[in-house]
Formats: sequence, structure tokens, C-alpha cells
Amino acid sequence: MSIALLAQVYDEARRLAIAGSIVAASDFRIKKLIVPLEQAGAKAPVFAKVAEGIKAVVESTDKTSAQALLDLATLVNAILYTQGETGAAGDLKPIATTDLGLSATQTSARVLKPLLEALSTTGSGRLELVRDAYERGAFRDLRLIQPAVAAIDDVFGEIADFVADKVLPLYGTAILPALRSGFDMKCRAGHPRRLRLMHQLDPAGARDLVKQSLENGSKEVKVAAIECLGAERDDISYLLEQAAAKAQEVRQAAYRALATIDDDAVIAVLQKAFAGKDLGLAAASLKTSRNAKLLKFVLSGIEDGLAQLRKTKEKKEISAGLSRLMLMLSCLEGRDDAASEALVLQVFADRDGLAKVRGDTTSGSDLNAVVVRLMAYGTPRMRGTLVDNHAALDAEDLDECFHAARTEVPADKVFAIFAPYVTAKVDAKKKDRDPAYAKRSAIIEQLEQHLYTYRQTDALPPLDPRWLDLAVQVEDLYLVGRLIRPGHAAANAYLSKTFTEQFKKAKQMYDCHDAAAAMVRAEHPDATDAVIATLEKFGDKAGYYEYYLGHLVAELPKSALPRLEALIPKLHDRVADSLLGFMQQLRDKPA
Amino acid sequence: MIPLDDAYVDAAAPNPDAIKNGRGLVLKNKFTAYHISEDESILFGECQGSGKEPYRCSCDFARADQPTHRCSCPSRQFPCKHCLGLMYAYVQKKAFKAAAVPDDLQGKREKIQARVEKKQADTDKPRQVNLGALAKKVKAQLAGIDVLERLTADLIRVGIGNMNAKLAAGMEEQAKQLGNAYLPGAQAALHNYTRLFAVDDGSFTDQPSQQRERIYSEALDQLSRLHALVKQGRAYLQRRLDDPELKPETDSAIAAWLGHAWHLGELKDAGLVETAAELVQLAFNTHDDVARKEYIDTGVWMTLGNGRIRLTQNFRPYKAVKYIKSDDSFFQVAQVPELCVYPGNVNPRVRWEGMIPRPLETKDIDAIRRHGQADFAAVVKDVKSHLKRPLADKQPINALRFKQLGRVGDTYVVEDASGTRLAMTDAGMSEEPASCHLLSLLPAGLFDDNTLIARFRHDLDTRKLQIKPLSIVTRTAIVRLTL
Repeated sequence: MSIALLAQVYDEARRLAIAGSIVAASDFRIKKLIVPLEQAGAKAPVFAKVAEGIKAVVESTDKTSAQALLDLATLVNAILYTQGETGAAGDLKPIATTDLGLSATQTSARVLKPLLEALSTTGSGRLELVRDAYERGAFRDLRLIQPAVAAIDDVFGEIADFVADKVLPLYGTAILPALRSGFDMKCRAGHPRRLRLMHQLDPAGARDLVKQSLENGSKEVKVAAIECLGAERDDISYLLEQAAAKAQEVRQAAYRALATIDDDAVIAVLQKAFAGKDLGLAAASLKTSRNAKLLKFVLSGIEDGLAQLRKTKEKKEISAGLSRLMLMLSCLEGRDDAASEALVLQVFADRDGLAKVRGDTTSGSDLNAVVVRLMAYGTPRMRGTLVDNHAALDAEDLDECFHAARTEVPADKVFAIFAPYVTAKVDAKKKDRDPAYAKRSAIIEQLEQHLYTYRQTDALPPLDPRWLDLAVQVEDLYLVGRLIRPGHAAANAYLSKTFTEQFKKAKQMYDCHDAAAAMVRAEHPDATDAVIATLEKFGDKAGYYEYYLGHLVAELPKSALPRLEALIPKLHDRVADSLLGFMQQLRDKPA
Repeated sequence: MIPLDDAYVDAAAPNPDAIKNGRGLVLKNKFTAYHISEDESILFGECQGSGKEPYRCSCDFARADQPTHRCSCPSRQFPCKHCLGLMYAYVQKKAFKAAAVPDDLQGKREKIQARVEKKQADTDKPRQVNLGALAKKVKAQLAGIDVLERLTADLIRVGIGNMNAKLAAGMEEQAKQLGNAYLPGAQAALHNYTRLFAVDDGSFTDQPSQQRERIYSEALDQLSRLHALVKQGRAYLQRRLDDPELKPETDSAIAAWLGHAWHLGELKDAGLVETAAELVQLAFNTHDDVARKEYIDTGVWMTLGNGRIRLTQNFRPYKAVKYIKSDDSFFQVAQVPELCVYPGNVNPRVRWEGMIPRPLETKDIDAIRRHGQADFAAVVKDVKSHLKRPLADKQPINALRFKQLGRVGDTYVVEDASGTRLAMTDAGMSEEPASCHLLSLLPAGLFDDNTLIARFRHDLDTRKLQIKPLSIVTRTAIVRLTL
């Protein structure tokens, strides 16, 4: 069967259908197919039938043209349906698979569909759904790969970042073709994420794209490309080129990458940045470089800056000099070499002199604050010097000093040095205008801050246990709540008393929260009673605070469950609803 | 003992909120009474709602394949959260007291029993047809067919290329006449044509010519389809008008094309019933059919006994979407006492009234694999002869027993034992999510000697007959590539 001829008829019929059957009559292009079709019709009658169909079209009138053309199109379509080409010529090669180790793809449509929608639509609440699905391992399903790859362009950046950082790496190199085909270096949004991810999954394979992006990419893609470069000779030349780029973000990224490379040409560029206008862009990068030559340059730059400052009289210039010096000093952050240490200590020693320097917008005190911070996170000698000088520090610097002491000095000594600040006589009326009050607040704030996330392990050494005694002594409920530990009789007595008082006066659920929360954390024998009493008193009305109390419910001992279950029906529906999840957590808690 | 578990109750719920609320009622101790009948066939209880009187809810398992949920609450969701809560409470082994079924409930149970018996008796009785009304309806349908013919002729006369947003919108308006003429199927077919010219959100805007070029072949095929519908529909309706006793045609899908809503009784009368059938779902999809203004949940099932692949379709019109439970993927074996099969060719629609699930076993998977067709040339021949009919389903689904699944160039290809190949693509089959790209993520062991469930499609522009992989049936599992 001459398919080519039929295909030609189809194309002509299609052309006429597009143009309209009213122009079909006497159409010469379709007409000239009649003869070859009739010839073919001698062997296969179907061709003759098609020829008849064409005749009907070319001889049609305005009234009959539609019918004739539809008849012809239906006939040719039907024939062509039987002539569909199947198969594929060539060697059959095995599919290069990436076994992701993903188990069954048996998630039901009802679970899968909302997730697919969350990844492909817009609107609120999607991040939570995606995060939850990730935590449950739901993304280990083949069918979510493509939507997850598409979500790298999500309009909500947090979802796109989450997907790029957490979800997509699960699939490994299998997603590279999809990432590559969707990558447009001229664009922003998801494209820098794509480049980073491609480089993370296959550094060698992404090399070409990285190079092209450095030359032709958008600003954002260039920044991502710079992040993908390493310390090879070839990379260095690219980075040096980018350090002279027009866009600030690109230069900043180039400095960041260059700071990790020990190379003379690189050091020259970094020195230029340090000495020039790009100090602000490069400072954060310069502190990471461990090159001795660069360090020497930085130290001498700071010394020169200090010398210059002393000579300057113009207030505006003083301010500018101080600002530059602060940035320069920030380049010493995290360094433990002797030269840096000596310089920082030298500047600290001159703090009284520097304090007298005043510009129009900044003063030497600002510089001193930078130095104190450097010391608080600096070498043991710096921290030790800072602690030794605690008495000379003002309230603002004292909290940095307290932090340094916690890392450098034994816990009992920290208590011995800083407890007097908490028990000191203060003028509560003057508040922060009274230095003793301000210093006391600074220490209490530090104690509270360091234990803010009380469930997490504190990175610092444990505090002296006497701090809790002190908190009880000064009757600071919030501090007691932060420092509380089970089995402290005095604290328990204080909490019982405080809760009773607060409960009596409370006008809303939250008024009892702090005391109840501290009791729960203290594993106080009356903690369950306190929480239940609060719920009983305020749970008949829906408010905003039951969520906070709900967290406490999850922390109660399991023995509280029967009482809570009995209480639930008495509560307002919304309060009960908000507690159900926490009760389930309590139920699931290991015994 | 009522065989309930969490998964069963979850599956019975109309939506995820109902699950949450049902469970919440149990946790909040809202049920004031839990009862079970002496013969353990019905759960009933009372649940405190916002009103003074508690809601009386019950879950009746007298017909295990078709449980009845009753509740005095005003919810239009079935089962409501109270019935779900009652079932969750049973699953959680709450103390259900044996009790006599209350009179009113017993009355309802008896009524339903009577209704079942009456239905059975009605089914056995020959259906009374009001011949006068039928003739009137057929005449109206014939008039509707004339309208469809006129509209189709107008469309081809004007030319597909001259179709614009205004014309398409006007045509949609005129298509309403077909609905009034009892031809909803024909109306949907016309909508399918006009929808080709609509943008994603369903509105008509004039598209750029490049975009247009892609739809011309499909548009011409749709017009051919409308043309065939006019011809075959008129002939069929004329036959019915001439012989009022004539039953709807069962050897083709023309009745459904014209919008005939088949009653299960009619299908039973026509002998389109298989008894004691066991079905396994091979694939599932949910798509939004803008032309029909409804969501359609489609299940692709294989009957284990004869290996035929059939479809279940759950239509959820936009207007009633809140009240109709969506179907879901099903991973067990559905034991169906009476399977009604709609008229149709390759993958006819099926429906059942009651079903009892049982776990999927290796022997079931073996049966599916056995039913896969090993000779691709024969399958292609069948598919082509099916596709040439203008009113045929243009994307039939088959089970293919393959020797090897591999790649030729960039195309995924499946090959049978004799070396016949079929190329794979996702193009033009957008009802399910794309699946070809998933092949490169599967373990290599799946590519030899397994059964592929595939959807066929003939592309009018490239003139290629290709397949889209839906699932791969291995020796131990059905690996779904879509939903």
C-alpha cells in the first residue's frame, strides 16, 4: 500500500479543513491526486474509494463541501490509523539505570496527589506538607522525582531551597538529565540552584556548564558557578577574572572562593580588595584565609589604620577610619596565631585611649566593642585577659565577657566572679541608667539565652548548680524556669508557691504558663495537677494559648494520660482539638 | 466478628478531613454509647454533637460487601465523621456492649432488606418501558443529531484555522442544545473539540499560530469523530424509532456516545454480567475533564479469570465534588459477586455494587503475567483494527508480556520474544503523570521477561503507534509508574 500517497491525501484534506471546506471545490492540489489513486485502486480497492472521496470534494458545492470533506477525512484517517508505524530500528541497548534503592512505589493516589499538588501549585501550607513528607520518607517514591525536580523553580523560595538541599540529592545522578535540560544560565530563580545541584551530584560532568555560566550566566548563576569552582590552576584564572566583575555579588562570591586558595596571584587580588573599596565585600572572606603573607598585610594595614586614626582630627574622617578599622579587625576573627593575638591584645590594652576618639557617627567605643567580641571568641589568652578585666567592662561588654568565661574558666569560678553582679544592690527605678542594674540584667540575660533551647544540649560547659539556688533566692521565675532541674527542693517549693499565687490571680491561660512550664521541666510532683488545673479553669473557652500548654502536655509523665482523657470531653472543642496531637505524642512516648 | 482495620476505615472515608475528625471524636470521648448487635452484624452508638441530643449513628454490615452507614446528623458526607468514629472506636477495641438493635434501626434494616428483595424482584420482572415517552425522546435526540450535524458542517465549512475565541465560545453556547436534546455524550464530544482551542484555565483566547499548528490534526480527528457520531447516531436512533421494542445496542458503545446512562439492571438484562469475578487494579488516574466539567477517577483493572482489562470510572461533577467520594488506588484483590460490563470494545467500563477485598497473592500476580500478550504483532494488529473505527477509544490499554525492555537511541523500547518492538512515549497522554523517565530509575532486573501494562496511542502528526508504560508486573509485585 502506498502510504506516501495516502499521507499526501491526508495532508491535502487537512489543509482544506484548516482553510475551510468552502474553498475545497476544484482545488487543484488535491485534484491531481485522483489519477495516481485510481491507478493504485486497480490493485487495492481502498485507493479507488479514496479517489472517489476526492472527486466528491472537488465537485462539491457550498452545501455539500463540508459533508464531502468530512467523509474523505474520516476515510483517510481510518486508513492511516491502520498504518501507524511501530517499533524502532537500531540496536537495542540496555537502559542505563540508577537504582535508587527506592522500595515499592505503592503510595496510594490519595496520599500522592496532595503532595504532587503541593509541589506544582502555589498557596500557603505547602512547605509544611513537603517537609513532613520528607521526614516520613515519602519522597523515596519514583513518581515524585519529576515534580520534585520541577519544584526547584517554586515561586516560594523556601520550598525550592528545601527541595534542592534535601529532597533532590536523594535521587542522585538519575536526575542530572532533567536538571540539565531545564537549566538556562541566563535566568535567575531556580537556575542557580540547578547548577549547584548538578555540580554537587557530578562535579566533573557539570564542569563545562560551570565555565559557560561564568562567561554568559546571569548574576545569580555566576555566583553559583563561582561556588562550584575549586583550587585548580584553571579555576583560579576564572576566579581572578570574576574578582574584577562589575556586579558586587559576583565579586563577593569570587573573594569567598579565592580566600581558600594559597597562591601569589590570588593574594595580590585579596590584598587589593583589603586595601581598597572592596574591603566590605571581602572582609568575611579574608578572615578564612590562612596565608601568612596576607595575614602580614592585614596586620600591618590595621596598625597603619590605628596610627592614622590618632593623627586625624576631622570627625568625618575619624568615622570613616573607624569603620574601616572595624572591618579590618573583623578579618582577625577566629585566628589563633601569635601575631594576631598580640595585635588584638595591644588594641584592647589601649581601649581607654581609643574610647576618647570620637567621629561624627562612630566612636572608639564601637571599635572597643568589636575588639571585645573578637576576644570573647578568640584564643584562650584573649579570653583569659577579657575575664581578668571584667570589672572594667560596661554592661554591654560584660555579656561577651561572661560567654568567654564560660568557655575558659571552671564553672565554680564563673559563679564566683559573676554571681555578685546578680546579687548586687541595684536601683530598680533607674533601670539601665544604673550601671549595676544594667550589669545584672546582662548576666541574667546571658543565663537565659544560653539555656533558651533548654531541650538541646548546650555547647558550653555546664553551669555551676548554685545558679539555680541564686535564681530562687532572687525569685526570678523566668530564670528558675530556664535553670530548673528535677529534684531541687527549694526550687520546687518556690514553684509551688508561685504557681498557686499566679493561678489565683490568673485571668487567662497564659498567666499560669511560666510557672506550670517550669514545674513540668522540674518533674515536679504537682506538675500534672498544675497543667490539669489550668486546663480545667480556662479550657472551657477557646483562646490562643492552649497551643503553648499543649506542648507541656506532651512533656508530662505518661501516668497523666487517663486524667487528661477524662478531662478532654469537658473542654471547648477547639481546645480539645489542639491538645489531641500532643496527647498522641505523650501516648507514643517510650515508657 | 466484623472484619475492620484502620486501613479499611481510612479507605471508607470521603476525604482526609473526615478521617481526622472521625478519629478526633473517639479521642475526645464524644461517644456516649458503643453497641454491637448480638449477631455482631451492626455497630451502633451515640455521639455528642453541638446540639442537645446526641447523634445516633450506625454501621450495618449485614451486607458485608455493601455496608450501610446511617446517622441522624445533617452531614451530606457518607459515611459521616460519626460513623467513621464509631468504626475507629471498634478498631481501637473500645468496649462495645452487646445490645438489641433499637426498633427504629431494626425497622430501617428491614426496609433495606425489603428494598433489596424488591430490587431483586424488579430485576427479575421485565422492565416496563413507556413507549410513547421513549419515541418522543428518540425524536428529540434525532433533532439534536440534526443540530450536531449542522454545527459540525459549519465548523468544517469555516475551517479549523479560522476558529477563534468568539466562535469557540459561541459553539459552546450552542452545544447546550444537545444537552436539552438528551444527547450529553454528543455534547461532551463537541466540547472536546472546542476545548482544543481553550487555554489551560478553560477560557478561550486566540492562540498564536505556532500553538495552533499543533492542534490541527487532533481537531480534524475530532471533527471526523463528530461526523461519524452523526451518521452512526442517526442510524441507531432511526432503528429505535422504527422499532420501539428495540433495546439499546450492546455490541458497540454508540448508546453511551449519545449519552445513554446504563442502569445495572439493563446490563444484567443484556447478559453483560460476570459472576464471582476477581479483579486487580493495575493503574489508576484522576484527571480534570474540563469538557465534561467533572473530575474522573479511572481505575485500570484486570479480571483474573479472563485477563481482560477494564476500567472503572467515578465521575465527580464540579458542583457535587464535595459530596462524592473520590476513588483511590487499590492494592488488594476485589472479589466482586456481580461484575457489570458496559458495552464497548477493548477496555469497556465496569461497575459493581458490592465488593469484598482480599490480599493480593503471588498466584494472582502469576495470573496477570500469564494474561500478558506475548505476540506484539498480534496486539498491534488488534489495536489498529480497533483504532480505525472513528468512535473507538483512541488510547486502549493492553498487557504486554515482554522479553526485554531497552533503549534505541533516546527512545525506550519494549521487545517481545520474536523481536517485535514497540516504542514508548508520554506525548499526548496527559491524563496520567509522565512515566517514561521513571524507567531509568528502576532496578535493571525489571527489564527482562516481565509484563508491561501499556496505553497505546497513534500520533496523527508523526503517524506512529506508540505506548506509554503504566505499570510493570514482576514476579512479586505490580510496580506502578503512574498513580
